[in-house]
Amino acid sequence: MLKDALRSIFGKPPLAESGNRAPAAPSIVEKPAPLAPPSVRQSPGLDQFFQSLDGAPTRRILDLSGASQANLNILMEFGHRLYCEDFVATMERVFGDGPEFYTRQADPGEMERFLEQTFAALDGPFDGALLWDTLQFLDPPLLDHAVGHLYRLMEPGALLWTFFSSDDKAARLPINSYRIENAKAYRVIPRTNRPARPVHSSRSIERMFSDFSSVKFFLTRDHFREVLVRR
Amino acid sequence: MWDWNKKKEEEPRAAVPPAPTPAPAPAAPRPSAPIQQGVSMNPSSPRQEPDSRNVAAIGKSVAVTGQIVSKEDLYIDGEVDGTVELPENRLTIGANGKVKANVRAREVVILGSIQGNVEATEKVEIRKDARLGGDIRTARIVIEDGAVFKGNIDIVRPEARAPKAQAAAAAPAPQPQPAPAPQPAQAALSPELKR
Repeated sequence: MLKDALRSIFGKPPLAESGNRAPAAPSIVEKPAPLAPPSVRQSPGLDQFFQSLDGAPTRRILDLSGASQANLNILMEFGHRLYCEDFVATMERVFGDGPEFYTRQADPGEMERFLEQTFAALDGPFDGALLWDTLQFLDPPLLDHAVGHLYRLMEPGALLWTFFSSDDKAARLPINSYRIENAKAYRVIPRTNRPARPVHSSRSIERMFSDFSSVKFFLTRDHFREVLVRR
Repeated sequence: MWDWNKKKEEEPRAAVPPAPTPAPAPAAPRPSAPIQQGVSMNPSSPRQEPDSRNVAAIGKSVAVTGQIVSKEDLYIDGEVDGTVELPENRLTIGANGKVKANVRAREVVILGSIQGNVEATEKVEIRKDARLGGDIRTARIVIEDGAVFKGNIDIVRPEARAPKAQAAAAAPAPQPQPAPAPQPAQAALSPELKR
């Protein structure tokens, strides 16, 4: 008992009842990281995105964070039409939410199925898009296809807002829900997390949107590269 | 003497929606009269308060293919494939409801799943765990966390509808369109009962 208690204090598994050590778990099975509490994040990029829409006639916005009352309320205050799509949920539905999440993205059939389910029903062109952090969960070949679809769906001159983690030491990436608090801030609600991928550098993000007319980066206090891209 | 319990035993598939509960719980008003064969129409009832009005219902073991037109509130807990129109009333799709149809109503509350476009003159509510794939056109919308929605949302503001209504009032009466089949004056239901 005492040994088990001491072991638990130091984060080690308890001994088996026979007194032998419990078999060590395989190293590839990772303990899910605890979720961070919800937080509010200030966003200069989001602020500029909304400023670009302010005063404009009714515009069509693509929101890839899924439908939520908070996002609807603020977008409808601007008098905009909104297309909702939960990009990450569609990814999990197509590629699974287990360790095969990334490997299945390389399968051409699965890739095609995901692109079909995500973009086929989108009836563009859109005047703005809130992509949040969805692109960082895509493997490079699929990412290229997705960005190509976004280019096709956006109106020339339209703005696309997204951000990427720049924390190259993080072992896992959180998957969050996002709720817009106001035009300058949004609430982050952690849902789960996934093993981290190589972070996107500023240069790789510029290459990602090389077909677009401009890419603007914003400095943030957190480990993020916030980007506003103009079609 | 009427034996309600016996009647229920004879009709185990009768579509009786769950008793109404105040929001945020699923609100399926209990019909004030017994419902037979999963579908009930009471054309004479005026619009009343939610706790006392009559509601037509399609039970969870009923599948309907075709056009549904109603002038009273409707609760769908079964399967519907076709179109649903309740221009002046409330449509509730229950937790078991599976609708593949374009829907038009005064108010639409979704607890189950629907594949199709939804148009509501007053309000659309998408409750937790509901699924909607299609476009929404309405004056107000409520989406609970946990609801799954994929499609366009177009908010039609009341002031935007007013000119159209005035224009319609000023315009001459439209020529009646030839209908494929006559419809009853108050409510029409052309279901193909599969079960």
